[in-house]
Amino acid sequence: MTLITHAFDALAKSEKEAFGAPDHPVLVVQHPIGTVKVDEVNKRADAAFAKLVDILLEPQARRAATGS
Amino acid sequence: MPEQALQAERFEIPDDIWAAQAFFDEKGWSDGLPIIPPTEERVAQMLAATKRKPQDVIGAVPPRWAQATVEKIAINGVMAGCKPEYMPVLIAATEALADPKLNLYALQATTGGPAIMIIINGPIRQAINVNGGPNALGEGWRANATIGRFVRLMQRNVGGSYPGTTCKATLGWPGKYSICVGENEEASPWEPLHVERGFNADQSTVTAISADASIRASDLDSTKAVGILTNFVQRMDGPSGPEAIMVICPEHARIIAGDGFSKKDVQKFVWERAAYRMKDLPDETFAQRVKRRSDLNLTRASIIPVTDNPEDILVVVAGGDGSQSQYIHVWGQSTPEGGSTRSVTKLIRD
Repeated sequence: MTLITHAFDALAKSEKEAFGAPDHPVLVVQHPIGTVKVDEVNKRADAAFAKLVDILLEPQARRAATGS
Repeated sequence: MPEQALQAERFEIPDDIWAAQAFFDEKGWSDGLPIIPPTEERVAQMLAATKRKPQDVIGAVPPRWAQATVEKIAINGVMAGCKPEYMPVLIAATEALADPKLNLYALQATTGGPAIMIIINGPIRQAINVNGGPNALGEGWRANATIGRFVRLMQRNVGGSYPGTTCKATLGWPGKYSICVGENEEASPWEPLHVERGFNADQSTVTAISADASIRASDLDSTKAVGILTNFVQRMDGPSGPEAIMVICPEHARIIAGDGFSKKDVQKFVWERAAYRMKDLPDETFAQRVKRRSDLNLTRASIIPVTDNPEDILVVVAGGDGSQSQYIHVWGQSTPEGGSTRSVTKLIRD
């Protein structure tokens, strides 16, 4: 699976199509990361973690999280 | 050229040039400037200027990873305004774009927004009138303007690089429209770039490199190499990428070489002085640097050279009269593995 920020959503979609892998799971988190405080990054990581586990374990949950 | 050999989709376009441009805009084929309609006749003229077959694949262009055939190169060459005799240069430039070492995917996807700078060496410069003299990085020469533009159109029309979606440049810079220069080999006291890289002087090459906006390294006062290079170093202080580009004007080059400096001496002198000092960094930035380059065991006392190695600094002679050189920062991360992008040089063939 791939983890990106939402700023790169369209690019990720393009890549999935280019490589013929439209169902490749992508987890999208809020942009930016580089210029926010560590506490906020940790909050986003905590929020994303459950989705990450779902994506890795449950194909149905994966589809729900990525909208694919 | 048999028509059936060409596979691109055909479109009927309006005769009126403005209506035609509106059609191209609607299709998203332009960089914002008007383009030359790639009619069958014009594309055939381009294809007649190469021995390569129209469906020969030169490489894949990201982010769409579409195949860059010779036909597509010819089409985008016409659109950019290239003359047919540029065709071998366009093919070599496309080979460079598709080389994994350049890592074009990262260059077009990054928020950093670098251009792909094209440096042309060898006798082809005279054959197609590539400028390496006065205003070498500026306007006024069709070969420079349109070959550089071709590179951008290939990224857009073959690679699918569109600002805001698949091209993530925060700002970009005008070099993204076109940046192509010939090395002024005749005015250089040193061996040209392509010879440094193992080619013969009578061969012609295209070098592609990640390039951010340049910084003028003006020096009208120094009469000695050390003075010119020290002034240059002051423009280069700070973090660069895996490589850096010194575009040295002929007047500066003559003085530097006259004091006995070879190209390697120039690289060594600059590399030993152009540095990124950890003591100057804010705490957060320093902490990130330490994480990113854990292999370097950085401390507040550390001084990081502008590039990992002296030979990573490209020394290119270009320009006309005047004491105005330029430093061009290379986008990319310096990494333990050798960097997130490296310049590539390709032989221009018929």
